[in-house]
Amino acid sequence: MVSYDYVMVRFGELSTKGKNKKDFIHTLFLNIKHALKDYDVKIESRFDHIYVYLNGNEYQPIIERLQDVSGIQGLSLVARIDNDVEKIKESSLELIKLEEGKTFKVKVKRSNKKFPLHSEEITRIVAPVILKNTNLKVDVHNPDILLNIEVRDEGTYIFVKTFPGAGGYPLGVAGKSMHMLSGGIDSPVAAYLMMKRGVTIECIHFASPPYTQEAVIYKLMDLLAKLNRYQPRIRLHIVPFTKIQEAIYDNAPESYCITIMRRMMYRLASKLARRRNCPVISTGESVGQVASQTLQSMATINEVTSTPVIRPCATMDKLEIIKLSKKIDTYDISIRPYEDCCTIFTPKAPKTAPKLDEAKEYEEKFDYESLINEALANIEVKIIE
Amino acid sequence: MPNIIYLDNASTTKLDPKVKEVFTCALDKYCANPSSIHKLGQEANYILNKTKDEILALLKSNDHQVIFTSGATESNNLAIKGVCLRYKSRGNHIITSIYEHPSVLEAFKQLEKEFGFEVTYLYPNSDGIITAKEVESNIKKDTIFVSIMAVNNEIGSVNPIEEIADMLKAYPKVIFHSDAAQLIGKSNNNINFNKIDLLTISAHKMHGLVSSGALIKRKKIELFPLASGGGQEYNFRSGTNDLASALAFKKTLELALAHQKERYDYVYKLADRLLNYLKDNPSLYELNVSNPINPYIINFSSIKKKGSVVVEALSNSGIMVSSISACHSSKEKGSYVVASLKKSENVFNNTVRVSLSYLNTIEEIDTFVSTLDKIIKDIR
Repeated sequence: MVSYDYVMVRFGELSTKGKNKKDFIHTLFLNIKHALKDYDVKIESRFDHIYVYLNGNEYQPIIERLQDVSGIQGLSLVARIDNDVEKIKESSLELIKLEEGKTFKVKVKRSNKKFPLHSEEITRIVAPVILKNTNLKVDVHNPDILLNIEVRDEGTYIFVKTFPGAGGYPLGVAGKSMHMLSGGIDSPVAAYLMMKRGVTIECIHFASPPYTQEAVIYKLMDLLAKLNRYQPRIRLHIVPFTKIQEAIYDNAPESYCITIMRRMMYRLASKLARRRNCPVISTGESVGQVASQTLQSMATINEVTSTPVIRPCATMDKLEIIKLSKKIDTYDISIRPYEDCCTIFTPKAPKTAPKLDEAKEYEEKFDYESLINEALANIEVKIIE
Repeated sequence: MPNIIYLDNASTTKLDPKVKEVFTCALDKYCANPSSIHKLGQEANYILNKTKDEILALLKSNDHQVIFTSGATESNNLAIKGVCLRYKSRGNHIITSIYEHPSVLEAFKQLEKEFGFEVTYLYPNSDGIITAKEVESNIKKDTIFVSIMAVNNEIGSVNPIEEIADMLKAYPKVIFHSDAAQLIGKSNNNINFNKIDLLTISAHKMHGLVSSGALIKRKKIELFPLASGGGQEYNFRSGTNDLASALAFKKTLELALAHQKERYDYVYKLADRLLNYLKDNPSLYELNVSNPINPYIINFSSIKKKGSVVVEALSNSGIMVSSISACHSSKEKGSYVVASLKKSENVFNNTVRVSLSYLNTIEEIDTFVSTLDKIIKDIR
């Protein structure tokens, strides 16, 4: 009797990373271990793959959980047997009988060079056994069943079912980003895309009580709880923004308020990023979506910082972003109707092409530096895990 | 966080410790199902019926039955759908007011859309009142049911339900229901409940338990049951009786009625203080009922500053009030109740409701007034 006892985890892009590979695999190993902490399974890390020994657990929930872990290219449900030709023949036949379909193909990979038979030879031994003992026919181009046999040092793996992984890099290997989180639809999606690329995030949110509501903070906590699937522990920095916002509205014409507000947010985000050792800032901005996200606006706003700003949603359509937000299950939370600091005091005609000189001129009218430092000194931190 | 000042008593009130004691004692003491035929069950049943009689005695009613429910929402639904579906053959026209609680309005809309009833929605006058005359002028040959709330939950206006009931005597086919969730224990008149066919009462609006209410129903009126089953509550509301809740309900009502007068006079003083401040600043606030006679609910609009922001700022200062609208989106529609008074958009979009209880103090009102005054000046 042979059975599918293991899940084989394939790394994808990792294999191109040379000397960093070991660290990458170790990080992924730890991430997988954390993702599966509620299951009584054993995780083995090997040179080319990580194997999860199912230990009697159902495979579906474990595969689903692993599909959320970044840095995994693909997952296969595998049976591990000894490196023995007779065993390989016997098990291949036994396992292929469980499948539905009319045609098959045997695909062999041999990384254990000590094994006496070449992959071609193994194929030529296994295929006839299946032909003789089942009604299946061979189809090398479009088989219903693809029977994979991989001969490795520790044993031979046989598998039919393969599942796509999340791709990207293991969370943490690419460093940390200070992510601007408003609570809308785009910023959680951007956060997810950062995580998928291996970037750990910390979030910064600007709160303007009483113009924005306490309920928004609960909304953010609910959003980040959804993102905990991809990053188990997320730090949220809540910056008190009311005084700055009021000062802006006292000193700048309505049409420039959003531009200057965004410039202040970037100043705050860069300072906090530096303090928290984040080399970059990330946001959910999408080109042209609102007045502050036109290219001219972005340029005028971005001028305040030399910290690189990554905008994963920059070129995505709103519909694509919504689709992703539904996939990661943040959409229903994002559409809860609360004002955020960007929607309150919305001017009737915000500038879509704000001029840098003018923005600077209005900013000089008040001492924003001390307001920024005061805001930074009064940040409230929440950990969502 | 500063000390909390709770001024949202029309939403729910603090549980009276005496009610809590009755409830917890009863939970320990009575463990049998009042529908069981054994000794313990029969004892429970006896106490349940005795409790109902005591409740009717407190309401000075001799022609009614008590149906315990999960609260005012269920009582309203049972009264409205129960009567209309039961007596559908008598006529197809029913009347309510446009500013009822959603549990009344939505039940009427359901009858209108799903069951083909014709519904007339009455508008209140500028004082927020539905007069008996207004009701009468809308009665048709095939009118079978009228539901008018006793006290409006947002603006606190008090409707003349006795007068309406008296007027309806001339129309024997018409059954009258009133949602009295905000009235019982908070009135300065001794209302003759005998005149009302169906009366909705909620315990948690008068320092009782949440999920505890009653429909006080004239005996001869039948209802189409919304919950079918074991036939409890005269076959109109099946489900195992909750004796502990029933006893707690009676205690709640007893306390509320016993102290009604003194509490009313006390709350009146609190309200007066607040009203004086609001009236002294007509450029900042508009009272939504120009001459409020109910001290428990005071509704005003912030004319210059956004109502939802005022409420949030008060909340951040530890003062809990309502802005009515549960959602503060940019799509927010404001208060439909205040809108029904034909007020401008700026007024019904910026309402603030302060609802008092006898547990509030003069100092709290003073703090509220000074905090509000500061907020209105500070915020943009």
